[in-house]
Amino acid sequence: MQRIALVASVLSVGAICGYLGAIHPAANSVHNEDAAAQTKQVAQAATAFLNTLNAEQRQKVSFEFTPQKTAVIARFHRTSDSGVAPGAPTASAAMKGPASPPPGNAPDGGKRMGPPNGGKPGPPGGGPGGSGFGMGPPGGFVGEQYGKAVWSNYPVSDVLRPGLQLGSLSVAQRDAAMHLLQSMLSPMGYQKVLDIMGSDQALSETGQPFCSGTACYTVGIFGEPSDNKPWMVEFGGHHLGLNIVIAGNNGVMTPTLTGAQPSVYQRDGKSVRVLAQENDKAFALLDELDGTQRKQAILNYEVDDLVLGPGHAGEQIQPEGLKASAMNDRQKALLLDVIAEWAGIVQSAYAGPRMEEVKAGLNDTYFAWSGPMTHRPGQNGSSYYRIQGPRIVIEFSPQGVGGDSTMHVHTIYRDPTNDYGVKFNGAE
Amino acid sequence: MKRILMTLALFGLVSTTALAHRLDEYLQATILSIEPGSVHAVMRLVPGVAVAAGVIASIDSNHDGVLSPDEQHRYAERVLADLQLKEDGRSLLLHLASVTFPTVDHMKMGTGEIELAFSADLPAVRGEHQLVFENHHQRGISVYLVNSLVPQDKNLQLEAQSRNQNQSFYQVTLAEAGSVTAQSFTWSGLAGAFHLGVRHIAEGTDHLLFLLTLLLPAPLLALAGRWKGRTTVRNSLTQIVRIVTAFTLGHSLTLALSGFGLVRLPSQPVEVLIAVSILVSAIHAIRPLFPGREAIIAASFGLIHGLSFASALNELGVTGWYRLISVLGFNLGIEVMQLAVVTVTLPALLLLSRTRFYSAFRITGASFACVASCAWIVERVLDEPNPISQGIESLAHHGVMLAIVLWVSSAVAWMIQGQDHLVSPGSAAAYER
Repeated sequence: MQRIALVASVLSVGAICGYLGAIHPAANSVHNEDAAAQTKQVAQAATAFLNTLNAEQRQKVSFEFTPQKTAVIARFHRTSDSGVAPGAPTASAAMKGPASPPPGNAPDGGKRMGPPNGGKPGPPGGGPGGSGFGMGPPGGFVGEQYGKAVWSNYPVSDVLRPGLQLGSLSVAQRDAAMHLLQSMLSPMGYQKVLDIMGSDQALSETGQPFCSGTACYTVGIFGEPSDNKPWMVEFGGHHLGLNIVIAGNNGVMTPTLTGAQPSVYQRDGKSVRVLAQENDKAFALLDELDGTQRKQAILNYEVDDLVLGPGHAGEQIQPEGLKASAMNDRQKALLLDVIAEWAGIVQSAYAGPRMEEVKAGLNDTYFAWSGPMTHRPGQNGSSYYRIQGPRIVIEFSPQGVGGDSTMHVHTIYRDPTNDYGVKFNGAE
Repeated sequence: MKRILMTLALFGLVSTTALAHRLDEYLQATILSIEPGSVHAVMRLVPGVAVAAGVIASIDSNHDGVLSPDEQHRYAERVLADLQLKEDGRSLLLHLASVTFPTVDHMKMGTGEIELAFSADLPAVRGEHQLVFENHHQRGISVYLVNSLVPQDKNLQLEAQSRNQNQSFYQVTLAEAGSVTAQSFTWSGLAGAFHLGVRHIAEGTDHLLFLLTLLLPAPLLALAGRWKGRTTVRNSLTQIVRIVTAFTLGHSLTLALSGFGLVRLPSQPVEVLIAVSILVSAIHAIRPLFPGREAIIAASFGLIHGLSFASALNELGVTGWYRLISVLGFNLGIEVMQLAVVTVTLPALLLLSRTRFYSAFRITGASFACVASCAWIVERVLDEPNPISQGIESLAHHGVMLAIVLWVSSAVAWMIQGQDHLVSPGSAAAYER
């Protein structure tokens, strides 16, 4: 019996080492070479995609890349032709605390949020962005805007993503766009994106009044694809907001929103469960915790939505839950395993250094849980969880709206110190 | 038929939009930025599609289908009135900073987000503070979220956070540099806990009122179910010392027991019992309920108050040796503050008790305590403040003023009494009949 236990523990330690080894090549120089080659590949794929477009399309898909210290909250209103005012939020608010100056190109009506030590709070009743009725364009949907890039958890018809929608592209152009995605993402990440799009497609086939389905997914390129200068690709639609900033050897995918509705759907006669690993790996970690640890990890209150969704870039809330410093090595490995579901969406050359950042702060990383401790097999659970550390925020938030929360989930993935790669995109 | 059509229309609306957005809930997500001297908050309010019509109707006071800037502003003020931000039990005044509204159409679809920003001043004092945020806006349909940002000021730390199940109640411990933490040196830990104890009594209106109410009849003698005549100064003093000591013994015992986790009781019933203890001692001050046994009553009510002290101490969140130091320091702080209050009020009380005005004073004071304790009982049972309890809370801010008024009026009463003596000398004891 003891021998079996010994063998099992040796094997599991080996497996953990193997896993850790696999997600980061040992030497930094290997990293840099890999990353440089990776960036070259992505830039080539982006250029190839741009080359398939006509002049008008190129104009629509290309934007300036304007590095800012922080993102802003963007509000959008529906236009009379039931579209939305393109790319132009009706009001916005800087999202950072007292230290940050107002963002360079915040549209008029920009209003500072948070402690206004450096600026006066807006007048009661709202400023120009305060959107009185008959007082100019009112705000409505909320998205997060960084420079010219915008993403949200609302459908594309509510918060328009800048760029070209897949539905407007020819087959060849679409293939080139998907190839660009594939060049940036790991096989796991690319499959995840396809699963999310498939889920939205299934939703659209039930008939929705808003823009949903694969055709609505939008690609935008900010700045010139380059091997060494910072630029950005945004890809998303309903339940997906990928923001990838590439700067030389660095590739950063924070912030990213993933989600699914329905979480389980049929594709080619097979059942697909979207974000299944995010769900199952978190339950695996929870199962591994002992009674005392669970007491700390499990919050005594309900969390019914994302706390740090669109509009909360750079915010660090007071952490709660079980600190990883109180976890054993196996539990820590399981925690990293959960995190890798987001950090590993990008190609390994970018994901490796990212996991290093997360690991460096692992002991100060918290795991918090709210909701049932089990889930039905073949389904996601209805429990919320949050992972929060010095360099990471992950929230997994089943949406209990209008029915089964196991069938609808939103997640957010951030680096509060480095959303949009501010550390090396020239903003800081 | 009309009803069927309406049902169909509602169903159509629900079935087409339900899949994307919040349905039958009113999401209210608040993020607090706490910095030394101030709290800023941003609140996102998103009424779901099934409740939006009701929310819109409550904003659109003239029912013209349009939300005017004035209506928006009034709604924002109404939301603010449903919020409570308290520092160490004291309500803070909320200032509306900005309001942003979506269109009525967006709200009807369940996708419109209202955003309110507001702020409050935090009286800047070093040490440890409890900040409580409560949101009771539209409690029947609402989903609440509340979180605090990590302060930008490194000298301010957020410690223990607690919430109730639906997050309508949120409490966070603020520790400014120099306060009690587990890391701090024993002496500063003791001092910090001592200060916490002093503050707990100084700001704990209910504990103070209980003590003072119990002292009210101390200079008097109970005869045949009424307060008749007064005892000697020596007897009064003995009586007061006995009451205060008994109260101290009682609450020290339970504070120590629960401070070390040996006794654990939910705070709500304890708080209700404390209010009841004030009511009982107020009635006793009007008509003697337990003459001569004040000390025993004080000791047993002390047991209850001790449980409440312990919950304040729990917020220190320290263990082991520091826990011992904290319990000791905290209790010392409570005693010192109690003695200070007794020392300040006692001479005035004794002086006043030698006059014929004492009866009126005693009845007035006891009636006030009656009203206050009833308001507190209601507040603590319903978990919701009422105008009376709020009024008392604001009155309590002027503690020093009240003490001065007591002194001046007792001096005036004594002087008038002195003149009366000249006119008609007689037994002072008669004035209590």
